[in-house]
Amino acid sequence: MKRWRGRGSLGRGTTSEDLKSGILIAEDDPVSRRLLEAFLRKLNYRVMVATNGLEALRILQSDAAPPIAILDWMMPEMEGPEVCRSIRAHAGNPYIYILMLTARTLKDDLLLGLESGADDYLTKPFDAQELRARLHVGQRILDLQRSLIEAREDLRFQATHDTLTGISNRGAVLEVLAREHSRHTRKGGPFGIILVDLDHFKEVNDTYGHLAGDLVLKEASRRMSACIRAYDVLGRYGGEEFLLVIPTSNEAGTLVLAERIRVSLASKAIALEQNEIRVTASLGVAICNDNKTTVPTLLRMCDEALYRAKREGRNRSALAPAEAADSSVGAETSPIHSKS
Amino acid sequence: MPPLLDVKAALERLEGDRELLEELARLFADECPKSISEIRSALNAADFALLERLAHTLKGSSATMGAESVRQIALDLEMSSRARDLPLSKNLVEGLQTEIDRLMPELKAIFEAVAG
Repeated sequence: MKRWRGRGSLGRGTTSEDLKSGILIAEDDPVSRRLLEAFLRKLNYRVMVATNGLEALRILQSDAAPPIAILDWMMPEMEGPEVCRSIRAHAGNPYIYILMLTARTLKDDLLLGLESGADDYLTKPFDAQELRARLHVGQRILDLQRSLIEAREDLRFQATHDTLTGISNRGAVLEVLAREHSRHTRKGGPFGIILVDLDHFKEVNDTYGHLAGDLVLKEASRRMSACIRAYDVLGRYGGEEFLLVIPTSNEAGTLVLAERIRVSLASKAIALEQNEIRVTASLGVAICNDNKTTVPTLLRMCDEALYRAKREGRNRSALAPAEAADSSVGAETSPIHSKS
Repeated sequence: MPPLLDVKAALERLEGDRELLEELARLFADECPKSISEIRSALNAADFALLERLAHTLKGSSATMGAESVRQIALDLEMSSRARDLPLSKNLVEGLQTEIDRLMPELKAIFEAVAG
């Protein structure tokens, strides 16, 4: 009568939810190695095997490193505690939970194992239940780590993105601009920036309320995002003002993009709760291609171009002339153009 | 005199997985002759470090297998190697050979019992 393997004391069958992570076994004794492998497969782990310490270290330092490792103490090439110390010395994310496997029972040796950086130990001969229990402990710690990393990534996102629209916030897009400018200074090659300012936005808020204003901002951001390439960056620069950084782009290319954005905003009405409104934008475009223009100057040039677009009737793009970099026009502060 | 092979205890540790037990018995039966041969070479070369590691490995596999008498001698051999005691190690290796010779038929009985 064939025994149905894989059920035993685990009870329930295998589902994709039970599928666990990868796990490394480093054990030179073939009998214990086979036993561990069998136990771990039954527990639904994806098992990786090393037969000596050096191989184990290589796997644990690779991109494919599993989050849990069961290391034998005495192995050829490199002993368990030494592998442990190496892993802990180059600590980075993510944490690898290490179980030391040992036939040693002297207390000093066990302490040495823990001191070398192991999280727990198992003495041979071990049984399936003890192994499972100790792996659960490891799993709890790894789950905790995962939730901490998720929380940190959430915070990182919130710190660099605009809450309403989900696009980069002002700080983040200015940082992108600084990096792109730095790259341009080192390696050359033009890049462009575009300032987009929604026309008569104050009136939208006054007439339809701030919730409607929010809807307009969100829809405008969505449309602009759809116009740009994967490596362009769109950020919310001010209340109704947006800054785009367009790497590796000259005058012609950036203007074409600016016009595409302008048309995308103007050509179709934006749906509000009760009605629709048509929203247009004025755009300023500036190119950096001479390796002399500083970031503040570039922004000023772009701002002046935007101002010109507004003055000349709105719903249009204006390009900053190249010579404007050095010409002083009245006060050197950035002109504060009226927004409505 | 410690037991040669506690099949019942081994099977319990394997949660009753008879097939796995057979597989392990096969592996161990393959390993033992290789192991004792390597141990003799290390002994002849008076390579105590290697001898210690080999004894340690054999101790581990015999522990997993439930071969208690082999495990005991392997443990003693590991200690005597660490102490670089050549005469004692020589004696223990002979004792190990004896136990392994007694063990082999018991191991074979486990995996050759599969009738069909």
